[in-house]
Amino acid sequence: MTKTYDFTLTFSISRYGSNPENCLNALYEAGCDDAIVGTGLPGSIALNFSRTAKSAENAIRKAVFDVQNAIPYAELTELKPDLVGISDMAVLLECSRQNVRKLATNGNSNFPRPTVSGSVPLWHFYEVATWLLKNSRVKIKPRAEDIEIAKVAFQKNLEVQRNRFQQLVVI
Amino acid sequence: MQHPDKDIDAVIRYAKAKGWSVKKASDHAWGILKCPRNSVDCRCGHFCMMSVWTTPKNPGSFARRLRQKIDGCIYGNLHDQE
Repeated sequence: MTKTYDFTLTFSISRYGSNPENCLNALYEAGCDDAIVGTGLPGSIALNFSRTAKSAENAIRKAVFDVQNAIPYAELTELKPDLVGISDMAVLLECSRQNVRKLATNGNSNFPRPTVSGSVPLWHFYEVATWLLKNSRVKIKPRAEDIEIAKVAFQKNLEVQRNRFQQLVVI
Repeated sequence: MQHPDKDIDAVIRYAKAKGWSVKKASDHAWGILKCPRNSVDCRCGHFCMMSVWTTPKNPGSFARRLRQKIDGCIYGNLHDQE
């Protein structure tokens, strides 16, 4: 049985040294006809996919393969949704920001702590989604496909971050 | 310039009403929607320019997601801010 997964992948294409718009036809022909390609920043592209696959893992793996088929030097830099703010969560959970804020700032609940604190706190959506599923008193529930994607995105973003760190370590 | 799919065409007209412009593209890309403000402060800035395929895989889903991005623009929805 296949499901439809919505996710966004960001790639650095700076080494490709070209305008992202020149990559569009190659992306389409490689199978990215299910993606909106965001080309608003030089040196990188973001693709918002809605992909049908057996699992989130498969959907993401095939999407990365398709992009790198079209743009061989494209380097995966970020997967979404993973780190999310209040507004992002409201969109994912199809509820109001007030609903989310109430859950997140209720000191009595054991809602996950933000991964990044500050004026714009960010949470790993996988942690929040897992908490929502377990908490029977909360009516807001995440979509099963989004939980799967958030899990894979969390894992793969960790790999990306680890690689970034290791590139700075002088051997 | 009209998009062959009526749902996508409706979203493009919606975007234009909010000040977005359309740049003509070629072959598989029908055009590129451009936000007049293209700002990195707004959801990272990537989707301030969005490709619109002539024949996306699922036009209904494509139109819905385009609309979501347009509505996500922080400048177009100032009343919606934190």
